[in-house]
Amino acid sequence: MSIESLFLSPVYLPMLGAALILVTKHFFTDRQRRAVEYLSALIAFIIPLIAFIFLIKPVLAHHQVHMILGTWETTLGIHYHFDGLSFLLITINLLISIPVWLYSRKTGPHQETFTIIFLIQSASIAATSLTADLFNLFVCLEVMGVTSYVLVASSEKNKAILSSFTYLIFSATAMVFFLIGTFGLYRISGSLAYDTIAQAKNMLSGSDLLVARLSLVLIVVSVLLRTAVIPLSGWLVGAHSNAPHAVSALLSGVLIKIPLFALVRLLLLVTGTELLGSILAWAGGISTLLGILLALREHHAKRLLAYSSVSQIGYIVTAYGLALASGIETEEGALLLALSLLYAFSHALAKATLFMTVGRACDAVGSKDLHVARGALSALRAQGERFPITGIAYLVAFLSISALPPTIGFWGKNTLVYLSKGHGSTYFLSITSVLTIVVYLKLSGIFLPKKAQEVQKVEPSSTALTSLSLIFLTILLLAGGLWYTDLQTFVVQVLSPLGATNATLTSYSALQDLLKTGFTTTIALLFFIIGSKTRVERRFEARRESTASFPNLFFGFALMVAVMAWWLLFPGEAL
Amino acid sequence: MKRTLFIIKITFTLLVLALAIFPVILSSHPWPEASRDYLYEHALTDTGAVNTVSSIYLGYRAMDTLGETLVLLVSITGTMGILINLGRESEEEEAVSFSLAPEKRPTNAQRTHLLEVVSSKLGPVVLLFGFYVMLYGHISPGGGFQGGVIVASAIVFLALGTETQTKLTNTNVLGRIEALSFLVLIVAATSGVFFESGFFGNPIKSGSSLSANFIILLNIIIGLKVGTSIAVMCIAMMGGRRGH
Amino acid sequence: MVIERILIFLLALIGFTAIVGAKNIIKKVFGLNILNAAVVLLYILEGSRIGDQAPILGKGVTNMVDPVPQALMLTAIVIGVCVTALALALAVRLYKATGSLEIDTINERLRSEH
Repeated sequence: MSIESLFLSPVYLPMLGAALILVTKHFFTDRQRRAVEYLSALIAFIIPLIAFIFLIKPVLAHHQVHMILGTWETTLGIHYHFDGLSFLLITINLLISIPVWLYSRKTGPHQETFTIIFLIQSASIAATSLTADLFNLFVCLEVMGVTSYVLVASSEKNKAILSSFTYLIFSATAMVFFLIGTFGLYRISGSLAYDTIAQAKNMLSGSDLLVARLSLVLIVVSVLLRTAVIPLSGWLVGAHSNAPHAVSALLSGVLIKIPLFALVRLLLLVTGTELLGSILAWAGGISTLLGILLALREHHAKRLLAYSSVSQIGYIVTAYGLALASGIETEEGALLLALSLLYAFSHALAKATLFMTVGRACDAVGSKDLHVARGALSALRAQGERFPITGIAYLVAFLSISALPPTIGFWGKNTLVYLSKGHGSTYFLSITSVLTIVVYLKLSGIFLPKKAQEVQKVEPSSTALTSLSLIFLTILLLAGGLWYTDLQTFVVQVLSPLGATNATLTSYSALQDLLKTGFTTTIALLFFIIGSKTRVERRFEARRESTASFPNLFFGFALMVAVMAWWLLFPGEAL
Repeated sequence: MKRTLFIIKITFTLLVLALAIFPVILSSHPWPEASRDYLYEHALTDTGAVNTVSSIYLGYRAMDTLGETLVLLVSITGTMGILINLGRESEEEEAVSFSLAPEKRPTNAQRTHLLEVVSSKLGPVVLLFGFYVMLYGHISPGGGFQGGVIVASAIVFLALGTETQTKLTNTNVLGRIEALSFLVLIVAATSGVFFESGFFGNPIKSGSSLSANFIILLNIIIGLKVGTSIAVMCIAMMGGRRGH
Repeated sequence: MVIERILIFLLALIGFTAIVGAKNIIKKVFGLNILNAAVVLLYILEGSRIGDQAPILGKGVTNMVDPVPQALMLTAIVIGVCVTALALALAVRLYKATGSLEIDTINERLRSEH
């Protein structure tokens, strides 16, 4: 077993699993197909996870593998690069996909082809994390995109079809701009591999440099669209709120982060990305505040969660942008990147759990409107859940996303905000922390007991697999919090070949942050109580659901391109 | 007010993006020749294909082709899923669509005897041509995708033409061929990992004259997969019975 | 020559305008196709500048065009077709659900749904 076959396993094993399910679907009965789906999930998720356990040691020893797929001896082949970054991204994907898939067995879309598409998406996520070739990145992003469109549309509600269509047109057009960018970069460098392109670009000057930078801007903005940072986030609310619960969990948890970190590989090698980083940091900060303000206005549970995703991705993008701005080779930059990835992990866990628990609760109560939905705990008990797993999982996820101890979110968000101090956009982050707690207090209303005790006739549904997936995520959320310092050291160690070595967060005081957290929570509680008592919030609430219109979406795209093109005129200066 | 806002947005969008892509499209940097020269020397010995385009997308960059096949699989599965549920709702509606057999066809369907006779005669010819394009992809222009699409159109001809359903237009049979060819494709791609020539490497690569066989095999599999899946989708859109 | 690339640029712009501005969703799909076609033409046109013979090795072939853009565009064309198929299926579904193909009407009718 060479190391290649180990780290490529999350790419080819899910494909193999999908092929097996397809064959079973056509040749055998439905029951056998369902059985084979379990087998394929085992092959596709558990075996790569075991393989990656064997890879922990090489990755800690900073063993990097740069290879050309198919062992051709030329740069014409497709370059793949395995290092700590790929390891972490793929691990995040596997750790979220397993509970989401288990959850979907009972609750999720019941189409015959759901697992096939799910597995193919998992393979494409792994390939995106490993690739070091521009056109291969295009193909992998397209596979990820097409699987997302189909998965969002699989809920078969008409709104989901519209959201899927909007997302499709927006994303497909952006990928054409990506192709134009690739054209520019291939022209000036003669190759599609990241290192050759970067080498060529760093030696350019004059009009060629202009072309190269423009191409890079087109590529970066097209990839950032999938991360849904303001102003590119119009599609996210519709897609994530109308998709089936399992799909929302996966999309919000994994798919909006992977393209961002896959881009790091290219941006690392290119010089002069400091201004780009600053722009990203500001965009992230604005995202945070705007996202949470829009979430406050919502009274539809899943739309609230989707806007909250926009807000939380702002944290990740801010840290990422600051890492780029100070240069990833420096100690500070490497730390910021590591914290950005860690927060991505903690948000993925929390958001997936939130979507799954809130989804179950809303299904049990029968409504997604926060003014109406109440009494989820008793409704779930009537459905056969003897121990309130859904409620507990929701509580832990709530604590994590509000950055309260002892969860991973407490440590993740606070270390991130601590290290980002000194940049203008971090004021947004602090305000948002308060508002996040307010928003989630509002959401928790679903679990409050009902005023009138009506006995509802609900059919009991077996909850074993769903409970298993929720327990798994809860354990991860708590374990991440308890062993955070070890986790952080691991991540920094593993990512350090990208930049400086042995960077540690030395002057961080947890006690100070505990006090700060207590303060923040008290303010948030005050806001919430005042707001709900005086009915102030009703006046600000969204009257009708706003749907993303195409002119708005593309206006945002053009705005981002225009702002980033500023980089061309003032190279090397930070905002 | 709303109208002016709309116009401002659209003008801004168009202006910015036009300015962004204009320099890239009109760049006058000389086009790089290194790849072309390399392929001129080595394509035949590395992959066994004379058609250098085939040697790229089935040899050096075969992973892209695999990704493309996955996009095809997912989008056709998705399209079928969306359209099939459509069909179930509108059973009672008068289908203004081509049907495959006379008893399912409503009286006002636009199909004439001329169409049926001609396309049923053309079908086998086009099928043969499709297989030719598939198999000779490494020597002359063509290959798996091109041949596959021609095979798909041949199957559509047969479906349009004949009055009786042949095995080839039965969606069950086509679905099975598709599933099997996809499995063989993935196994062929993964076999490289275990034969020490890397993922999607040529497992027979040893400098012998047999190395072109891998490309021929890939062409056939991809052609079958693409042909059958597109044919299934077209037949489903025409209103034929869904086979599963 | 420059005039060809300007024409391709205009073609791309027309396609993009259709995507953003058209009210009918089928026309948006047309626009996407036109944009795709423009980019494919761009790659192949520029790749053909360095030679004048088809990239198939054989007797007497000394000056062939660059085969790399052609191979890349094969992939891009297939992906474009697949995405178009999916978009059209979604459009048909939207028509069945709301009875209209205009994006504003669809938005209105779906907004009032549950």
